[in-house]
Amino acid sequence: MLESVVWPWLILLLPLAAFVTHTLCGAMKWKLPHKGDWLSTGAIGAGAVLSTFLFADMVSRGEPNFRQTWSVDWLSILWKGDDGQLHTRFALPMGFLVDNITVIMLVVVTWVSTLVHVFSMGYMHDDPRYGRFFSYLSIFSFSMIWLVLSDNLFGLMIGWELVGLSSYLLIGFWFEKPAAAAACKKAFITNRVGDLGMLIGILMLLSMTLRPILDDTSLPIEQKNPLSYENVFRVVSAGSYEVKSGDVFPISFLTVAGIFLFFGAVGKSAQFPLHVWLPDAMEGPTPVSALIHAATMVAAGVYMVTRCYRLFTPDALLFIAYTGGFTAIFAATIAVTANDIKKVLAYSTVSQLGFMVLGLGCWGYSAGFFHLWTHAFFKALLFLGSGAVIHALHSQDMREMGGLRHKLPITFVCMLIATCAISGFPPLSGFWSKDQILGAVLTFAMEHPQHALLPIFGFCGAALTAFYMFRLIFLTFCGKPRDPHKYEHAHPDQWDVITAPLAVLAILTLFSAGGTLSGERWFGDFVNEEQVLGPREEAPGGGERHRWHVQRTVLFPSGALVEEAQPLDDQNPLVALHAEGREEARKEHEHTEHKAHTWAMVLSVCVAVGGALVSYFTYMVPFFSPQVWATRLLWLYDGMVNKWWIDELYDRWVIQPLLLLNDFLKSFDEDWVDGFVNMTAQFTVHFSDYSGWVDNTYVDGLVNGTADTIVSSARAMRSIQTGNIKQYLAAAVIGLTVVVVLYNVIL
Amino acid sequence: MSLLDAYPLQHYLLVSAALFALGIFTLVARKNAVAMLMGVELILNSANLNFVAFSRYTVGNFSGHLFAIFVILLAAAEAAVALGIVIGIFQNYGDVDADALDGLKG
Amino acid sequence: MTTLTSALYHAAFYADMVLTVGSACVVAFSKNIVRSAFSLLLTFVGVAGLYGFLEADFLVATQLLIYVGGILVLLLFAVMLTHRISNIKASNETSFSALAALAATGIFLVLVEVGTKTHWDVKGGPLGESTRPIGLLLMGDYLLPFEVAAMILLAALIGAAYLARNAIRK
Repeated sequence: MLESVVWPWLILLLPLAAFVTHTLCGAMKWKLPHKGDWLSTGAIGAGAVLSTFLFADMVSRGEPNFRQTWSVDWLSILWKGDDGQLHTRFALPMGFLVDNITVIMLVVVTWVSTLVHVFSMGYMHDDPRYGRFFSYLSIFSFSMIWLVLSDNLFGLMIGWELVGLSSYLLIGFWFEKPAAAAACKKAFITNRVGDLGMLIGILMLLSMTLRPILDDTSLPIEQKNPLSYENVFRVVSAGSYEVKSGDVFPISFLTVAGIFLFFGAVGKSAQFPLHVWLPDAMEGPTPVSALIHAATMVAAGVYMVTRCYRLFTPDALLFIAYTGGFTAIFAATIAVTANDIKKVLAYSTVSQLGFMVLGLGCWGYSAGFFHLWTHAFFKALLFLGSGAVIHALHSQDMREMGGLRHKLPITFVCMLIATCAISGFPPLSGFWSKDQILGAVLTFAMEHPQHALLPIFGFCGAALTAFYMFRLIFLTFCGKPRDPHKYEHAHPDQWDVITAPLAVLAILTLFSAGGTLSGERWFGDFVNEEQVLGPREEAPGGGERHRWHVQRTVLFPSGALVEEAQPLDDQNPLVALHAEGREEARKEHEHTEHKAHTWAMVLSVCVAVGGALVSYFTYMVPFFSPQVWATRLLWLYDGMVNKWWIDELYDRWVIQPLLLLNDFLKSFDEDWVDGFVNMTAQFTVHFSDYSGWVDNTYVDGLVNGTADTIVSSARAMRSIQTGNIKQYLAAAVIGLTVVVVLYNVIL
Repeated sequence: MSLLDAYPLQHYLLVSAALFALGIFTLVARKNAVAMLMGVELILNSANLNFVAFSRYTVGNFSGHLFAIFVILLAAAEAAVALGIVIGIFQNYGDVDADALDGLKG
Repeated sequence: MTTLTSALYHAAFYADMVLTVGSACVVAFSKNIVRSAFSLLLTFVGVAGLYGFLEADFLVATQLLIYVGGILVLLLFAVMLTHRISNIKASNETSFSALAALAATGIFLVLVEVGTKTHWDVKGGPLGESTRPIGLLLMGDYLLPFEVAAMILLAALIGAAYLARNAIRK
């Protein structure tokens, strides 16, 4: 099945076809039965089935580095060589890349999307723009699948922007609400900031990869694509970015390129400091929050980092790790005090994305991606569950809830499962993935004690996760109803399109990690960095443990200070030394890893249980009073409630200065530019007036004067023309006389 | 002196000049178109007189006579045509007042 | 030649001059157009007389025949046709008399000046009998003008008849 390009095509184009049909019917004012919800759902459902087949095929192969690519020639830049022949200078084909990461993402996207489609049939049922909602969901699914399937960075960027657009449309779906309109704008603009960084990163990579491709006419056409993952990795791995015929790309260049590339993920995956859009995006319909802002689109950043893992140097990864770690704990603290059920989940999402990024940054290639996989299901479940609560109660404020487990038993059970998973209770899926991350972080910290802050971030974040998630459960489902009126009017659970997806997701939450201790090994075998990408020490930069390139500073004649790598060959004594040390280092690393994972497992269970217990004693048994602790830790509480004033900081330091600059530019424009233009205009007007006056007075005067003279003289001459022949005769005779007289007088 | 040489040429020229001047006067002053024709005849006669006189006194052959004959001949033709025109004018305007015929007045 | 004969001759000459000029004055100044017309007869006769003094015998005859017998009759016809017969005092009004006088005086003075001041090369004598030479010349040197004149006369007669006929028919 994986050998055929038909299935990726189908998975990609079915949602697009649904979207096109919706749009066409909308434009032609054709009414689709049930407003076309079956169309979108069917399209993505078929995609889900196909994705599952692909996934099963991939798993059954047991071949982690199996990869299949198809590409079509999309854009070729030709040039005429010295021999007069046309050569492809470089090409930008578009194509599919199907490997283990792709199929995992496909399964996540199509299944969560399908379930959200089904959920939306119930949740959005009374919305006047029901059909449009499904068409938007379809275009989002298409964009996301495009992003996942693309085999090059350029295609990734296209999908990236398309999901940004879909996200914008769906957040602003209820655009009558000012908050929703503002939120979609905020999301779009914040993402643009990140995307700009990503574009810069891509262009930096292009500057590295384009040169060897341009120079080499012997390359086949498929290797002429400077942006396909394959070629980028090949160029980066070959080390040709370092020294190439006088063009020097120091390894720090690659680091910077990687960090810029990561900015895209910072924006899309809502990492600090560009996380501000995600909580606001909760203004969109809850299914959208589940699909886009929890499970799939925000995971695109993590997917991108996973996909481009080869490009990130150790320094770049360190940057990524700190960003993720800080985001994980930072967002968790805000989630603790949030009262809006969706806001809690939103900050939880930010925090969990931070975990993924932290895991990736700490060399946990499979760990971070594993968390993406598991998180997609339980976070979608949590959002859909909150959606079910909101649907039943028509309120999002947890202070108005309580005791809902009697009314909403199915939702309660499903959400409890998801909460346990996200908190990291074994043997649920979240436990395995989070344990993987924390293990990777701990390994990293043990090998690099100077980065001990990272595991602290990680474990504190995990503890806080357990705390606020159980707080959510307790406040929502347990205790006594705090708003009896709302409680009474809540619609009780029943098996319908709202609860069915919850159940499916609950099953996925339970078993997506395998459900047993062998679960992590399943995923670790399936997505294995060493097997897919090759030995870690041959990655760019090789890690600080196995630094095969010895950087030395060379002062070039031009005075530029650059880093140059030693050539990688067997004659280099450093390489031999490295080969010796490699085996030893590997053993040492595996030892550390084993130790760290054991500790991580124990510690993560401890913090999860601890967090949950504290939560229990705070909100179920009034042992700790939240009010008392809030006043006791006022500074902390203030910060949490006010979301650490990030929005205010942006307002103070970014938006207001921009507005000031805006005002200044506006006044400059109005006073000086407009003034100059107006002055020119005034001058022209005055000059025209003068010129008109001259024209009217002198030029016209001359013309009129000539005419008037002619008229008056003609009038005078006219009187001579009496028409009387006798007068003419007399005049002739007198004239003759005069002529003769004068002739005689003069001569 | 011969009898025939008795009178100087100037006598004839004087008469001719008088006739000519009177012809001009008639032509200009008369309102009646027929009267103006008379003025024309006077002028032609004065010219003829000059021709003949010069033929006799200075040229010494008959060329002046012949010119006079042709002038008379043309005068006859002119008189006939002019008569036709005058009658035409009279028929059209009911009058032969030359002053009234100012259709060319500017 | 006797003195008497000579005196008579002179008298006749000057009388003829006076007749010519005087009758011409009547033509010019008379208030009655019929009178003018008849005075013109006298003028023509006077001129014919002067031709006689110039020994142009053929021209005397021609003058009398054509002018007096032809042209003048035509003019009289014109006068009569354009005035009612009963209106004996057919008026002959003048206009622009001053202008006419100025023009006439001016041209008269010029002509007199030219005629008297010029030194004429008077060499010719009497030409003798003129009819035969004129006839020979008309059939000889002046044959072409003669024929052209004949054509002009024919055209003028046809034209005059046409004009008059047209006018009368209206």
